[in-house]
Amino acid sequence: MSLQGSLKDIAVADLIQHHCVDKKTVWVQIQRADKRAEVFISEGNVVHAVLDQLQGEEVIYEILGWDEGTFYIEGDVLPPLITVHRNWTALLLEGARRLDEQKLLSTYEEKSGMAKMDEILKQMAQEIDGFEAAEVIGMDGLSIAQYSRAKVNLELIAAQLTLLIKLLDTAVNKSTGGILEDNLLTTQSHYVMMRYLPGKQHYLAVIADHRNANLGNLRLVTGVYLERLSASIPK
Amino acid sequence: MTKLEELLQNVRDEIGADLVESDIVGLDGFSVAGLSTDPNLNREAVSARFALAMKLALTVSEKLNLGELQDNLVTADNYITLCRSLGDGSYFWILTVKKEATLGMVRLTMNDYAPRLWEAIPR
Repeated sequence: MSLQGSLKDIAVADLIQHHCVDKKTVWVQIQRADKRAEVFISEGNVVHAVLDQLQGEEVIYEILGWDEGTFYIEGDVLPPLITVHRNWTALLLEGARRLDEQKLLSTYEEKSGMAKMDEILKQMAQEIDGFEAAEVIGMDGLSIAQYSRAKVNLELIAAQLTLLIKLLDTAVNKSTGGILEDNLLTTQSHYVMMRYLPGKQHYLAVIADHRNANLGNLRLVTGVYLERLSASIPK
Repeated sequence: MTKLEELLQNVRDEIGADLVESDIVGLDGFSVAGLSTDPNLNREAVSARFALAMKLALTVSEKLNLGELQDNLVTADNYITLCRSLGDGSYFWILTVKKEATLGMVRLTMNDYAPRLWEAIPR
């Protein structure tokens, strides 16, 4: 018996559960990018698992989080070693617990990253004369961090400025062959500075009062804070 | 040489070797006068694309209640491009300089020449 498929159609936990419930003896090979895991199920119990240098239960906990890749199952293949001693239900329960823990941790990291960015914007505001508002905006036009001292519609700013920076990016690239680094809009009452964060997936927008702001200071300070903001974006 | 071309030539002389391109462009994206020192630069494309950008910049400043648009300064890895509204905003001036140019001086020159260029546009 042999079977193959994609992890988009069936989860690793379901693959294991299905063969264990049916008391099968199978050799499961799972490929995800350049990683290849092997799981041996003998008469309905997981008895051996290997992934690179890793062997045993930890392999199962690792591959339970894989949601992309392909699998190939061959029947009646005996395990070369016994490295897993827990029964399959305990293995899957422990795996699910670890996955939940990881999810909680990444949500926490994301939230604390956002809070950190807000804090950095607040610090930056103190160094910019005439500061009114600042936002870190993704190229989808959604703001991921913001700080404002004036009454401004930050959502509207994010959407409008993203349109502008995208258009300017194309204008610069197609007409002069260059790569856009930043843009400064000067109006009667305001300066609006837009600068790409490293990687160009986000940009920083700062609005300052024209009468109180100093253009050199604005360019200098925003430049200094780009790296810090970029480093605190939740991955 | 028209008055407009003469003024642009004066700007070129004042800015010197850092000047790359200078065009007076209508909001329709067509240049009415201009010059370039970079033979590879497509002035038509610069005028058309920056006209679009200036229109959007006008909308942005209007929607965000930021007051009348004065200019837009684009910094790229090779050049710096300044777009400045002229007169009632129906024309604007695009000035592209090398990255090494003294930006403060370029802006001063633009302040000085913008009203004169607006006056010189045939109407």
